[in-house]
Amino acid sequence: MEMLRIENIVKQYANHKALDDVSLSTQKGEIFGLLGPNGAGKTSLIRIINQITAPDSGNVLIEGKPIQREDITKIGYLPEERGLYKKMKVGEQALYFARLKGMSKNEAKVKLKEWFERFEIAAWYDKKIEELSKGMAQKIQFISTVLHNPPLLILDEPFSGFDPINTELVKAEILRLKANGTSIMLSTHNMNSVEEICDSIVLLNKSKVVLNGSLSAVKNQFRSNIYEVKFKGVMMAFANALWAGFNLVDSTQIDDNTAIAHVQLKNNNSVNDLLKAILPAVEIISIQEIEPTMNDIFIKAIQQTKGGNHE
Amino acid sequence: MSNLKLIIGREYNTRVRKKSFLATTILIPIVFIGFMFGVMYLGLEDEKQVKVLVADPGGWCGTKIFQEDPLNTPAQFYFYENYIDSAAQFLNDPKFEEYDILISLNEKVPQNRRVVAYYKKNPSLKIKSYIENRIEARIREYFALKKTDLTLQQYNLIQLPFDFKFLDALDPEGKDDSARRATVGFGFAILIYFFIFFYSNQVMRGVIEEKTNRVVEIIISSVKPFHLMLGKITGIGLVGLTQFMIWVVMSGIGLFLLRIFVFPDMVDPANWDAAAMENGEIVNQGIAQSNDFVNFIYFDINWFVMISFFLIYFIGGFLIYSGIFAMIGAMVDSETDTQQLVLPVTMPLILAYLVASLMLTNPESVIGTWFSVIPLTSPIVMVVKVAIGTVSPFILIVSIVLLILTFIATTWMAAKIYRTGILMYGKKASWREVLKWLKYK
Repeated sequence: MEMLRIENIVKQYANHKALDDVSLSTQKGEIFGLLGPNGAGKTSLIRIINQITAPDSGNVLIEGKPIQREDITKIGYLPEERGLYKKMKVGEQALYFARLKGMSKNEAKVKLKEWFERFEIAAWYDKKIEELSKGMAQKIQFISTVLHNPPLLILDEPFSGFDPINTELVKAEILRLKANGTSIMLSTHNMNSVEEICDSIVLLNKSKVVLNGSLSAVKNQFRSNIYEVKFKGVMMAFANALWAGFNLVDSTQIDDNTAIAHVQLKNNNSVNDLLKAILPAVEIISIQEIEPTMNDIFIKAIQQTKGGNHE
Repeated sequence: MSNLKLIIGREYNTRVRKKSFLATTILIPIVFIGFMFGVMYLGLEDEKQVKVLVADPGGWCGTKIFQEDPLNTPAQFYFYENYIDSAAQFLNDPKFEEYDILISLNEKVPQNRRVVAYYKKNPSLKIKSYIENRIEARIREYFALKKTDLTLQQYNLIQLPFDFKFLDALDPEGKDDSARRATVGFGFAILIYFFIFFYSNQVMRGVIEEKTNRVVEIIISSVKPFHLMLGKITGIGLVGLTQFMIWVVMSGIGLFLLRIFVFPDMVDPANWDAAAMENGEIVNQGIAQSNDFVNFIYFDINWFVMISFFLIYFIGGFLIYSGIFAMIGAMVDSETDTQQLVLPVTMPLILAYLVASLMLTNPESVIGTWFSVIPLTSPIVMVVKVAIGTVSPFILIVSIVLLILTFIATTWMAAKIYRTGILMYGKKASWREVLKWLKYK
């Protein structure tokens, strides 16, 4: 089922177009990566979904219906630029945010206690924010975002400011929320985490969607047909065994008798064809496809669109 | 709506619970009253009685004024029948050693009307005027008796001062106290000036705090930016009203206590009649005046009207200025950037303050009337006019209507700019950019 649908959103600022006919959709219970270089329009889009600003044209639909003011309680938003009132106490502040999202005081208190215990920070309840470290404050912000149990979470760079241990903690929480049916829109520059937890992605560049689909489909699209072959034998023999249908990208000699080579398939040749070609020449230790990393895909997709755009 | 209440609650509670709020609210009036009391106390301080030697060879003063004097007057007069021709003689001759002041009444005094008094130590103004009044009155009496056929009683009858009053032809029963009324109005004007300045600044600092803390985006994902701004303005305005109400109650109690413990003997005619007999006419007038002023404070000022208009114009003025200050807060990235933006906005406030002080001497000034209608200055100027009591209902209504319309206009504009500005991190906006923000959806 569809959680969020963006239809032909255009947003024009004084000197530039932040979003140019952007459309996308996300499914319930999936983690959706919203990617793009700085200034691509991600934050503008997120602000429109959160009804902080309005689009010049286009529609936002939530659970199939045009978004209404009341729908803000269905969204939990962790902005990239985030902070807390320094002079307020931790518990007081989390309670304030929860009540702004429409929770009753008592309900919020119960939930808050649950979350504070899960994050093992119950002792901070009466501390002032200014006494906390950055990582601690980030935890409070994360809790404040998810406390009212929204069906849609929008997390903008949720891992920034966390040490590796806390990053894993938050990652685990995101996956737990997903398992409970929460849809999550994740905007990040951390491509490793995209690869780890996203089900589908949209890549924005210069106000436009340049890539859209499930993670596996996108990866498929960017397959380079390069295979890594580890073998025992003579490099020369290996190279000679490759005929016109294959392209030796590079090779590394590991020791006297072992080497690793990267081979690209050409002309609709399959891995089996490659195996057939090299089997007589060398002893194969392993062979595997080099999948494009999200990092590669990101850079490649952005470079591809560079030529086509003005500026 | 409930979100607005939450925001107002947070803004109000975090400020009222601060120790600094309690301190300023309680301490400012106490310090102020203490200061006033100190000034009054210094004025009342007992001075050493001075000995005045009157060298009066012509016998104009005779011995008349000297012997009747009681012991506790500011100055004691002594008679010397010879002429003392120089200050040096007065200083050096051991027989004049015990005297503080020498007054030489030579034969030229009636013609050039010039009396010289030499002092060894500069006496206070109070002593000077006491001496001057006594000597002058006596010389006048003497010449009246010498040069006319009047008796002393007849002369003193002529000399009685006139009670000159400027009254409003439309209100002949009223009192001529517009100057004092203006003073009271000016007091309220200063209060409004201070409140608008202080609390609008609080609004601006609150906006900047939220912006630099980066807490603002989290909040406006739950509430409309306009509600956040309105909640902040309302919450902080309520803090101001709370402070004012505490001051009203404190002043009420203070005035009540003063009346019980300090003023009853002044209000009682028997007391100041006796004082008048002791101290002579001039001092008597002083007491009558202070008694009059006490009456004025307690009975003639319509405190209810003054407080009502204070509330109307404080709220109106605060809403206008705090909207503008919130807008400025949203335009900048740190408090240091605000100065040049705040200056032009505070000019009308300062101008209004100047006009209000002008009205102390010219209660019905035309500029005052204009400024009591212009919305950016009316909150300060109009309370002075209301206190004087010369404002026509028409002007009052125009002034209030304009105040409300301006509030709507500035709030509309401020809301638009605020909405965009709070999300512009890391730079100070130019006016040209800001104008474009007005058009954003």
